[in-house]
Amino acid sequence: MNKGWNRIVPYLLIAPSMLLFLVFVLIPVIRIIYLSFTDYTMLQPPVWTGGANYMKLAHDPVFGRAVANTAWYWLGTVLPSMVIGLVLAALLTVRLKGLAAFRALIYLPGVLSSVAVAMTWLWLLDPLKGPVNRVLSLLGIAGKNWLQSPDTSLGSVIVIGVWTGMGFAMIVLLGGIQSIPDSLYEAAALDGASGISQFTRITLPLLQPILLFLFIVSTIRSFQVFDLVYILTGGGPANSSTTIVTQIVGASFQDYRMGYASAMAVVLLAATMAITLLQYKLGSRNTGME
Amino acid sequence: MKHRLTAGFMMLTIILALVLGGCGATSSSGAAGKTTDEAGSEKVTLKFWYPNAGEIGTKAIKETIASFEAQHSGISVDLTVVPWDQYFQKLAVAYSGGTQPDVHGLGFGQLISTVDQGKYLNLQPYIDKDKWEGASDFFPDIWKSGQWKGGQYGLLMPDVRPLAWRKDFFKEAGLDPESPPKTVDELFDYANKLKKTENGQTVRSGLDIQTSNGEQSYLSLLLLLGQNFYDDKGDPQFDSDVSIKLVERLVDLYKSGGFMASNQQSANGTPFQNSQAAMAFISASQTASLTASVGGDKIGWSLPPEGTDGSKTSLMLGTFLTAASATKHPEEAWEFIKFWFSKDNILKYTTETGNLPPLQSVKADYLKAHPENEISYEAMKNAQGYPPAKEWSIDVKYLRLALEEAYNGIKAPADALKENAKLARDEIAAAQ
Repeated sequence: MNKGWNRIVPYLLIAPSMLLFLVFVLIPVIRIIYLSFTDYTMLQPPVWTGGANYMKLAHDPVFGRAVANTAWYWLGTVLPSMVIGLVLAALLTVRLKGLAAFRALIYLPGVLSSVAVAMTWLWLLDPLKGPVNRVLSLLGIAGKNWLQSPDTSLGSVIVIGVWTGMGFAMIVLLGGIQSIPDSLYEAAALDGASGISQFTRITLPLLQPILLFLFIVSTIRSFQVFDLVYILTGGGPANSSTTIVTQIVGASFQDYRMGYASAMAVVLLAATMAITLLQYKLGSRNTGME
Repeated sequence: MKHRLTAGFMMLTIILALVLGGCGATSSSGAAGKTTDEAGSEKVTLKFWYPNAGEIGTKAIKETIASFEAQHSGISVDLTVVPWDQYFQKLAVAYSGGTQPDVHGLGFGQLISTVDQGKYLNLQPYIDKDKWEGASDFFPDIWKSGQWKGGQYGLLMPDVRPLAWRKDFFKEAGLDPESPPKTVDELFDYANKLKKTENGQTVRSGLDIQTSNGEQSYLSLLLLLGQNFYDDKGDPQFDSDVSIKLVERLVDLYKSGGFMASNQQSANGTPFQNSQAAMAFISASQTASLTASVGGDKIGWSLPPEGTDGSKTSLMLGTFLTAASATKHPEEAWEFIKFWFSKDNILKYTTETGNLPPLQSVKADYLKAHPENEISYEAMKNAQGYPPAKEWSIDVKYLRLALEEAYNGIKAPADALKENAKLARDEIAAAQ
């Protein structure tokens, strides 16, 4: 093959995915950015309103609540699910009978559809018949209506988010741990390093690129949380568990305010990109991911 | 630098794909259109959506479709049943994408709040052309409920809410199982007596009031006090003194354990349906399923208690059948709606499901199968629903929020109702 052909082939190979990216991602994003500057009800053509939607967003207390809830969800799910996933991944590297079954069981919530997860937790947290309250009552603790109380609705969703996220974190980190050469651990053992030492001095540093990847992906997933919230609480009661995406869906498909919803989507996109790039910038200093 | 750019671009790709993937709305639709059957003639397929029919309802709808198809060899009907909590979102997406069903069900409030958008077919020309006798057979108020500015945009399957109570729970609480509360005060008094708490938690509501998406159970009571939650111009009225006093009373009842937190749109049903409430304003269409799950002898039905002016006003909502104005098959869509409301079909359908038939001519035969629903006909005489106003969805949104804030102690009832009524007025003004 000549040199010119060699230059073209890579572009040809990535062309299909780039085309899909263009059609299904980039063009819709540009369209959403345009719509965010309009008043659009889906049934009439959009009317240009400049920055009115953004001005309104800045003073919308419900959107402010949604931003705060999304931030709490991010704080409450990303790090805990990564820490639990890391501990589980470390524990599941030992040779045990039935290890594959353990791994599969822990990973299961990560692959289940969020609808199935939500339905399961609706049953578990049922205030009268649910196992959670029954166990608590055996311990002499009064149960609560976890999903219908403004004090506990968001916390309940966060716990369920951790449960679904830890399996994904575990499987990614398990792959990372297994890719670390055994010779490093053998050499450390010969030098008298303890298990904890080996973990902190070998495993953790070598897992940094994977941890960064996991952190970024989990952040994005937590920012876009919708289906769990929608099924478990509908964002209520009284917006106590509403998130940015539930607000986007409400404004667009329930109130038909597509322009306003697009402005929310643009804010979400900008926030996600900013935080992710910041994480990437800070994390890549130590991981050599540049 | 080049590596940084590449990594940056890849990162952007991942973010955009994940964010947009998460925001993507789901919609399902099959293409409606004409196909050619074995005989070579063209066959029209109507897409038909119906909300949350339940097991008994879905079976009855399928039987209706089968009968229709048997009598109309050139038309087939493709049914999709969607739960209420997803129904309007999916319908909105389908309409905006031009993939709307040809014929579909529509909630009482949704028709009157969205009919101005020009999405639904005016059935009046088809009714006139056929000189359809069903038009005069409908109960007049039910017929009128589908009208808007001279057009007939929907035909209603009515859903009246008399008072239902559990006789066994009345007996357990030392109340006469054959004697329901007669006044609003007595209703609250009974609700307190009928509640059941264990370890400080309500395990059975005295009265079934929904605390989330709870405008319907609240409205059943507000109607007894002579008011609705918005006026005929769409202006919110749920911050009136009467409404505030009612909500204060409901909040007190809730705090004392008179009813448990529940969501009107819960897929698991309401507390009354789950034997977790002793009294409820509940649809007569629930008769069939309640009889199957609880036993008809345990349930009493009566008119609501007397209101302030002595009237016993029931809430009447229901599901409209309507067609899309953009349908390519308006004649066939009308043919299907007409068949649905034909005497034979409506009698069969309502007898199976318990739904109240809207035709006067089938009342006697229907009552032979469902004598307990005599009370629903009685309730229909003095029933009210949502006044026709396109501001309905805004009023409902803020009323729901106000009720949730009040029940959950986030705001005092008066503040919650007044502040949300103001927000509703602001949004209505902005929309105009």
